Amino acid sequence: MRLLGVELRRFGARRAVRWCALATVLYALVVGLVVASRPEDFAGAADVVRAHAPVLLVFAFAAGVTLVTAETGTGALGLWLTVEPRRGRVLASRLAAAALGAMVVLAVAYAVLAGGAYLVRRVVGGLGAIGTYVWVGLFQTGLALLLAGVLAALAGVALGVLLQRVTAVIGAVVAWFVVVEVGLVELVSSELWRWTFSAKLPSLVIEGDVNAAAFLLGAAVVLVLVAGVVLRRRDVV
Amino acid sequence: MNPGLAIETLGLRKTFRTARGRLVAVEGLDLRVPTGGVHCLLGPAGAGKTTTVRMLLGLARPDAGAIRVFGVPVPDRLAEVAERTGVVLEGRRFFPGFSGRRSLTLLAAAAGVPRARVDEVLELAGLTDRAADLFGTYSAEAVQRLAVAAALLRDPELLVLDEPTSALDPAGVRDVRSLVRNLADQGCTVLLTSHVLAEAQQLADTVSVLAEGRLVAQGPVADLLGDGRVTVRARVAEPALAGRAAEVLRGAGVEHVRTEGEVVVVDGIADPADVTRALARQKLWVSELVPQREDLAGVLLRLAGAAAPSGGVVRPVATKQAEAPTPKPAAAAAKAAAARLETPGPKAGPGSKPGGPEPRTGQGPKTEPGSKTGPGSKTAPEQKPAASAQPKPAVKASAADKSSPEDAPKPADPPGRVRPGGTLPPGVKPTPSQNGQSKHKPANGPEKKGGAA
Repeated sequence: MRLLGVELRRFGARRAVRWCALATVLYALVVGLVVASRPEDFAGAADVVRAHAPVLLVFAFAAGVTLVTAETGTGALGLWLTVEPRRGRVLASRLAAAALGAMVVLAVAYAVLAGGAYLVRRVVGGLGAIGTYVWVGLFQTGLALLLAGVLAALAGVALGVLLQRVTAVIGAVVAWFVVVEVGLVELVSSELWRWTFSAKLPSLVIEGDVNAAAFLLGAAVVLVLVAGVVLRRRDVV
Repeated sequence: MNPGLAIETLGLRKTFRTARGRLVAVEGLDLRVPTGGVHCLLGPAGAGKTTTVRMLLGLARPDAGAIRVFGVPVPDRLAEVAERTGVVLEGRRFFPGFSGRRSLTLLAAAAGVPRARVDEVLELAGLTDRAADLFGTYSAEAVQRLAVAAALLRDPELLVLDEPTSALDPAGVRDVRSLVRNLADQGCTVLLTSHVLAEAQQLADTVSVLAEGRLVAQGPVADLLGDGRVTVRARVAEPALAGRAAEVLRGAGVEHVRTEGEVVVVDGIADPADVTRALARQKLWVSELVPQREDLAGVLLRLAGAAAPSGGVVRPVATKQAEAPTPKPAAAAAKAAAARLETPGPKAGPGSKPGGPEPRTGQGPKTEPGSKTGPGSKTAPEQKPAASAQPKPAVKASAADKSSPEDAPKPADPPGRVRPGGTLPPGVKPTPSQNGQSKHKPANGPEKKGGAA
């Protein structure tokens, strides 16, 4: 717990994380206002809000990546490991800090997104009839967003450990999407698309698909396990 | 495990994969660091010093061999060792966006150290005034001070410093050396790496000399490196009086005086001013005086020469352990490293960063920050008797070492001749010591250490 507390303080104190969080909340605010300005009633606007929720996951992933790569880049990891040499604990505390930090920011951003749309509609009028299903849908999306945010943060930390540099992670993610999620699907079979992250993430967040959750959870666990093995065995500069 | 040892390694080996195949960074290293005092890992760049330190700290995994720190196997029980160890690694190892205080506070929290200790170590490191500044604005010296402060957070029993004075200005070097010496005097075991011979001579009690990943020699600094005394080559205004000048010096109590043609050579003198003073009293005027100090390349060659028969020079380090020879290639490694040091090149100039040879002294005495033998520095009178002691062989195995300077065999390489595998820098005359001749038994190590800074 001591390490987790330190990692959370470090997470919150980092300028890169703060800027990313601010950008995420601002994005949510702008989208919420734009959605609120559309002609349909709030029930229709809620669908648009839920459709935009997966975009917020970018923050969780980026925060996870930068939490690790910043240390590698500055050489601070070596110093850190002289204070706490149990690498498993170090990785676990980072995963937990990234997940918790991401959840907090995503919760705030989603509240701004959905709440902003609701409040604007309420002020300017045109809420329309809001059935229970609208609130349930928004709540389910919120929960799914938090779960997906945790998985994205874990994946970000794991990829940060494996590739060590932000540029390498960006390159790997872009290459994955271009080669696998676009190229392979186009060349081999469009049926493969439903097994891509591009399909599974919205499926989890918007529709609350349990299969998608299991798929993404499996992917995150594999990445974390590989990262754990690599961090234990790797020489640290 | 020997109870008198803070660190012990056995057959440590580390290789790295490179584009050209496997690079052996450390080979068969049997390191023994006694508890208490300052131990220096001395060697040129690429000698394996930092790799060794990283293995000791668990940052790098050895390919083979065993490590024990305070009797605890590493890396198996590294956490136990970490609680008793403070570390200063080379480089800027903090977040540029955090202040020095925040960096230390986070480290202290991770280490379970009370926050009040942060202010204490900031004070100790002389960084209180800059504690609130962002680390990104720190100078090299402030960076090093912060690293030292971080290392002291746990009030360590073992302090490991990797090139602690590199990139520091003379005042910073003096401060760091003073701090290190004070900690050692308070009972802390200090292991530091350095490529600066004078640093090892002034600061360390024991030394391990590495070259190309192999242990060339280890033992007390006084036995292996000498105490930084200089060989003085003096020329009197009237060349014909060189012999008389030698007699005058001997009569004045200066020992180890000989002549080489028109030059009077005095080996192992603490203060070159003694020569001019003695000659001036007899109205023999010195027209040229060149103090020359053995450099790292010279040390490596000398130790390599001594190591050749048994493969390595290992002297007991504050324990009663029997000599444990290291693999034979140590001598060859030392010679190769020495040759590289002596080869002029972009990396070999005076003042070059790690691995560069130390500044030669052919054109004047070398001034080390904090040096006791530099110009203007004083040598305590009580060190004099040691200077007049009979020269002792630095290394047992070498035939040359058994001779006193007066009757020592001529250096293997005549002055100015290019040595195999390397050349001398322009304008530098090889001294006898640079050619592998033994140095004298120096003054007692601990006496000179106290005021190293």
